[in-house]
Amino acid sequence: MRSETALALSAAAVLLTAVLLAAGCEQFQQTLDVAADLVEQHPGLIPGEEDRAKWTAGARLAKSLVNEISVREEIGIGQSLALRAFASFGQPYPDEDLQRYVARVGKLVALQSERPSLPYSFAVVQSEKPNALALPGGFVFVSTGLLRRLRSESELACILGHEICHVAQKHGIEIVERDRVISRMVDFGAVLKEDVGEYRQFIDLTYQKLTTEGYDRRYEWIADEAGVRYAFAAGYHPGGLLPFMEESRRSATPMAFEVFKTHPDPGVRIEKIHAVLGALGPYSATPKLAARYQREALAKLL
Amino acid sequence: MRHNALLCLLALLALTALPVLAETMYARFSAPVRSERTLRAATLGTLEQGEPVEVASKVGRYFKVSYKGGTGWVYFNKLSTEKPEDVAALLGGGFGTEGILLTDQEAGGALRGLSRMTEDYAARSSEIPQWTLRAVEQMQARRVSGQELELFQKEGKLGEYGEEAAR
Repeated sequence: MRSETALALSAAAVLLTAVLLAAGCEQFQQTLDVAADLVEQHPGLIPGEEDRAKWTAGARLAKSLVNEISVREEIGIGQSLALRAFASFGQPYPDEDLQRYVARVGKLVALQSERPSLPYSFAVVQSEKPNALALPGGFVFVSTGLLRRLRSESELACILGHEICHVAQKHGIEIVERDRVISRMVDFGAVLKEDVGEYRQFIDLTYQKLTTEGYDRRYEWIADEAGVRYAFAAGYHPGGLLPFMEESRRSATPMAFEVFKTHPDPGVRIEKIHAVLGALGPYSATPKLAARYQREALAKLL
Repeated sequence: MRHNALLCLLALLALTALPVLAETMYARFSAPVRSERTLRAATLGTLEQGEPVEVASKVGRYFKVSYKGGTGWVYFNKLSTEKPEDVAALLGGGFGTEGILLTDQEAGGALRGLSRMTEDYAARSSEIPQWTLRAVEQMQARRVSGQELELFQKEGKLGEYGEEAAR
């Protein structure tokens, strides 16, 4: 009797899902949310742990298919967010040689990421606040204030690696997909088609989320580890994040640097980075390229 | 019986000790396959980005690969266990009619143009100055070629060039 009821309920859920799927993705997603919650709260609805696990996995897959943002959409969103980034941080630094230098280091590091084929773009912006930002689609910004505080190309490589990780491992896109405030306020399917008003709201909310709240600590640690790993694989000395964090730890206000204002405590990060470095293998002979950084970056900053 | 068990154990140990990976890996980007584990060795050919190759083992910082009926060597940072996304195919050759086209896949690419939604967003948002459109276009169009990256690595003695300098 119990299994017949469960079967009937499952069939009804499938039918309801199919109807709402025809009605539109937003409703489909909401239905799946409700259904997933129901099954979780009332496990007796689908007897048998294995069946329940299959159903939940299926619901998750269906949700992920609805939510999946394509590369085309990701780059389009990144372009719009990049407009906001320029408007907030400042104009591009007017030295094409410096811009190219940073782009070369960035692309070299990005080729070692999980998404080497993404068309990453780099920009140095005129801002004395030490800052760096990565946006979905591969748009990476670094301020003149940050470049002035670095002493070698390997430091730049590790910092760019940290930022590239947020793109390569889709941390920004995940925030967009998971953020309930954004998803409830905006019909994501519609914004990518025609509705400029909703698209504007979506971009503004996403930018605010990325720049004020930042990524959670788990993602920052992942990005530290990946930044070290990418830079090392590209051939750089992998300790490039340490001088910056040591300086941050020594300063009167530990989070003085804008670039890491939303990040975890530098002392904890330093410990974790040492653990990552210890597992890399020999790296003492790898280059830091301080002289090239002096010539190609610091000498170009007025 | 005891003798057989010992033989089995030895055979198992021998198998686990072999540096055989026998794994398919993919070129992260344009990757030369060399006849020896050195930059100075002859190039047997080049793997294109995303091209699969069978890896037999890793010696030092080089992968030994099956190539054109023989074996060759590829520097470790040019291969990945995951196949890179085919971004050109995913973009479908462009961004609708807006002209966003990949121009250099090998070096991670560069894009041209802006999506229509981005242009509309800029046109209707009072917080977005018009100069930012040009700034994003310039940022996307800053193309770093594969050859340029090779020279950059060579000058800095990075990666494979660093190995060569240390010999």
